[in-house]
This record gives sequence, C-alpha cells and structure tokens, in this order.
Amino acid sequence: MAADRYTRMVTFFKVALPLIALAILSTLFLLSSRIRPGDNIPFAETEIDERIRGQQVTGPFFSGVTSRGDRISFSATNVVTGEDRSQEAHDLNAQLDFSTGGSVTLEATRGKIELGNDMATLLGDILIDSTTGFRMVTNTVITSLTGIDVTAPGEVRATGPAGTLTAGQMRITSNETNGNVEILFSGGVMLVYEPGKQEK
Amino acid sequence: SVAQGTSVAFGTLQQDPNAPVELAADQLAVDQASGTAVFTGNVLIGQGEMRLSAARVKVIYAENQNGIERLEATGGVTLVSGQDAAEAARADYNIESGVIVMTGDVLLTQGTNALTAERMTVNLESGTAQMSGRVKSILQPGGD
Repeated sequence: MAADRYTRMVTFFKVALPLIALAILSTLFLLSSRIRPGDNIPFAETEIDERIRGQQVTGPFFSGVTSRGDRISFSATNVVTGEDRSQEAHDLNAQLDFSTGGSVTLEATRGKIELGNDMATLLGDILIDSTTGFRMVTNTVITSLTGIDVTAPGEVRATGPAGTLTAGQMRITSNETNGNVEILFSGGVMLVYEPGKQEK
Repeated sequence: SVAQGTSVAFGTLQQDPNAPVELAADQLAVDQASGTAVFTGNVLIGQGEMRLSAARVKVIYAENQNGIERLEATGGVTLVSGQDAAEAARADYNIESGVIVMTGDVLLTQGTNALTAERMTVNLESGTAQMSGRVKSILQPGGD
C-alpha cells in the first residue's frame, strides 16, 4: 500500500512542479519594473538653450612651442564665443615651460582669448605658481599666446622662499641682457622676511 | 692715528637677529632658471633699529632653499643704526648670524668723530664693530 502511495505522490509532483515553474517564469516579466528607454538621459532645458545660443568648445586644449623653444599650453573647461566675437574661457589654466629652465603655471576663473591680437586676458582671482617657489596672486593678467610675456598690471601679492611680498605690478618675460626668463616685480616692491620662522 | 684693528660700539645694543627683515625697492627681478632674486633701485633693508640702503641687493638663499642666508648689497651702501652711520662700497649682511661686513673705503661717523678703514664688521646682536685695514680716525679740532 505504502509503495503505490509514494509512486502516486511522485507522479503528481512530476506534473505539478514543472507547471508551477512555468507559471512563475511567465509572470516574471509582467511584474518587473517598467524600463522606459526614452527618459534615462537627464538634462535640463537651460543646458540645451545655452548650447544652442553660442558656439562652444568643451575642454579646449591649446599648446605650442615659441621660436626660442619655450613650451606654452592653455586649457579650460570650456570656451564660449561671445556676441562681440570674443572667446570667453572658464577655469583657464596655462603652463609655460621655459627653454632656459624653470616653469610657471597660471590659473584663473575666467579669461578672454583674442587669437587675433595674440592676447589672453585672465580675470578673477588669478594664482601664478613658479618653480622658483614664488606663488603670486593678482586679479588681472594679460598674457601673449605665442611668446613668453605675462603682465600683471595691478597689485601683486606673493609668497616665496624669501618671505611675503607685495608689488605694484609684475611682468614675466625674457631678460634683454642674458636672455633668461625672469619675474620682474616693479612699481614699488615690499618684502618681509621672518628669519625666526625658518626652521634651523 | 693709524691702527690695524679698532673695535667701537655701533648702533643700539641687543639687536634681535630674528626680528623681521623688511626689504623695500623699486624693482625685484627673480631669475626663473636659477631662482636668484635681485632688488634694484634705492633698496632699503630694515631690521629693528638698523637701516641699510644700497643701489642693488642680491638675495642668497640658504642651501636647502628655506630662508635667506645673506644679502649682498652693492653700488654704494649706507648703514644707519641708532645715531651711528657708516658708508662703504659694498656690504654683506648675513642674516642668520646678524653680522654685516662692509668693504671698500668704509667711513664710520659717530657724533663728531669719523673713522675710515678698508673693512668693517658690525655685529648687530652685540652692537660692536671691528674696523680693520688702514684704520684712520679723523678728529674734529675745535668744538667744545
């Protein structure tokens, strides 16, 4: 008796289990969450208008070598062509490597680039870092794009190996006599050096 | 009177060598390759009571680039501290040791009398100065 009850149970399961599996499988796709391919690229309307409004270059990179062998490279997050045909760059940074040794990097929040007259005007709080250990902060810098000529017409505050310094203006260019590139602070320079602070 | 070495008191005593040093000038040129810094155009070095003016001052850094070892002042130098004044062609101010070495026809004026010499070493901390090399003192006759 017990034997055929067992076989009857087995034959019952042989049919019932695959049916249940089939039922689960078929409802699986009905219950899954809707994937709407249309809207999984999130962007805001303003972004589209901005893109349409002016020509824009994202992540521009510009580099070159001057006749004297100094390497110059500019990069920015984007450059937008303004109404008056001028290019406005955002988060601009430049790297100048001098053939005579040493290098300078410039970082600015904003810059107007005029390729026509080989000039870029950096605005916002500009940080200029030099391998001589001098770090300079100013608010306007005019630099040539194809040669080594960086001018900060306004007041410059700097910290360096020789202490903290303020100057009326600053220019980075090659010295006429020995041809080496130098940072020339002028318009009254005031440097304060704290001998006590140096670790002996 | 000619003497080989004369030591005189110079300026105010106990000048603190760790007092901040101020350099003012018309221009400062920092060479990008070597990093040397040269002040030009009526340069004035000030520390505490001491004032050292010169036409050109070159900054010599300490070896490991942290801080200044000495200042080379050239092109005619005038050192004033308290009511004493000294003139020379050149002065080397070693900031770490607080010693100024003036060379090239040094003229030291203290009140009415004056001393000339080839070389003068001023120790700011102790307020003393050693003059050497054909030291001649010029006494003002007359007076009280």
